[in-house]
This record gives sequence, structure tokens and C-alpha cells, in this order.
Amino acid sequence: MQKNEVIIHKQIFTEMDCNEVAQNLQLLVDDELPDETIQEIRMHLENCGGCIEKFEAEMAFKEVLREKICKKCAPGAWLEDVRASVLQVA
Amino acid sequence: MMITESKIFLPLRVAAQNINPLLMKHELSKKEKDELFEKEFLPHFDSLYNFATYLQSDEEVAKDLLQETYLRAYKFINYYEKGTNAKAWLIRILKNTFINEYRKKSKQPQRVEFEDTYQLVDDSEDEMQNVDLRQEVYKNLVGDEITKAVNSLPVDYRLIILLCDVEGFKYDEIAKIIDVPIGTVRSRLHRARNMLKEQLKDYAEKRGYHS
Repeated sequence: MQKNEVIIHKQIFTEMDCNEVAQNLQLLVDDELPDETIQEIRMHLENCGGCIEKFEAEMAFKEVLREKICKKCAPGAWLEDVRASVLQVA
Repeated sequence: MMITESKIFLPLRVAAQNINPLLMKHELSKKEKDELFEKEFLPHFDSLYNFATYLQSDEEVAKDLLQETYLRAYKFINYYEKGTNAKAWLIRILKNTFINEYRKKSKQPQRVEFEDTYQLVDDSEDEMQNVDLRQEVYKNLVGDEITKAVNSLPVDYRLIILLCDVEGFKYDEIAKIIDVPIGTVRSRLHRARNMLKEQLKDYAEKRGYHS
């Protein structure tokens, strides 16, 4: 099957297939891809419900981890204890 | 006798221990050091505390780890590049202190073996297969279950989830903090997330949700 192509600012972008999108999904979710690759993935996501669903599930998972992994604050006196011990030794 | 490069860098490498040996050393007065410590290192205390407690569940040991980290940070403050990423620098020292001082004293030898088994498969890029869970499954999970699942991961995987998903560091920053190539960051993170999903799927199923 011929892959879709678009030309933006004289640059040719070729649509990725499902397998290529799956390989890049983690990097997409972690915002580690160059703009050109994101464009090629976006072209595919616009036409593929299955890949959109996987992408949204990965995004939701990352969001849940960010929101729900417990972030604890140090007990009040600890900072003073550490500051005192370090500056005393130094 | 010829002086090789390694002979020039080795003493610096030894002195700096946990710090990038290629960083420049800056001469600082006591006042400048104290100021740097207060302004750039102490504001990250809560983040460092969070890391320490995820690495060490015993509060007292976590406090020792935190104290040792800040002592080392001060000791090597001459190598810190002012205004750069202090949090990443501190976490790197914390992680190395943990590995050097605490992991070898670990009272759980079985656990270390378990972690090493995982490390063997860590770099394999061949299994980029995703464990897929439906979104509803995640949304019904509570913070306690997720924290418990994170704590059940071997320490290297726990660390990478905290660095990427909690602290939001980029892959290249994580690579510098934990001293591995970017490809390893990617594969380790992928594996860590899959392990978490498996664990969370179990919790969800126990509560009657199906993936």
C-alpha cells in the first residue's frame, strides 16, 4: 500500500504505519521525538482509531503516575538538622 | 616517563568520586560555598527526601542517606557548575551514595540477586512490546496502590520511574544522572512501565476491574 505523503515548507513527510507508531509510542509520550517524526506519527493517528487508543492509554498512564505517585515532604526538623551538620563539618 | 591522559584524569576522578570528572573545579571562598549550598542545594531537600525514602523505606536510614548526600555535595561543591541543574547533580550523588554505601550493606541479599537478574535483560531492545491496559483501569487506582507498585520494583526501575514520570527529567538528563547510555534509559523505562502495569493490573483485578 502506498503511504500518504504531505509537503510542509518544502519538506516531505511520509505517514508511519501502525508498527512504526508502536515503536515510537514511548518516545512520543515522553516528548523525546523531533518535530518531523511527530508530524509523521500525527498523520497516522488522524486515520487510525486503534493507534489513537493506544496513544491515549499511554498518555493516561503517564499522567496517573505523575499525579498519584506519592510525593512526601521531609519532616520539618530534618532540613535544619542536615544544614547544621553540613555547615558544622564544613 | 610519558604521562598518559588517564594519569592526569585519574586523581581528579578519584577525588571527585561521584561527580563528573570532566567538570571544571572552581575556587570558592567559604562564604561563596555556603551561599551556593543554601541557594541551590537546600531548596531541593524535599525532592531528595522523596528519592531517599523510595530507595530506603527505613526513615532513619533515609535520613542518614540524605545527610551523607548533602555532606558529599558540599565537599565537592567546587565541581558544581553554578546555575546548572542542581537537582540532577544532587540526585546523582544520592544515587551513587546509595549504591556505594547502602546497597552493599543491604540486609536483603535475595533482593539484590533479583535485581541483577533484571539487569541482564535491561539492555535488550528487542522487546518493545507494550503491556496494554484500558484507561479506566488506571483511573480507578488509588495513590497507595501505585506507590506500593512502584516500591515493589527493583531499585533501578524504581529510580527511572521517579526520574522520568515524577520529576520530569529528559532522557539525556537521566542518562547523566544514572550513568547509562540513552538507549538504556529508553529500554529500562519501557520495562519499568510494563512491570508497573502488570502489578497494577493485578490490583485492579483484585478489586473487580478488568483490563
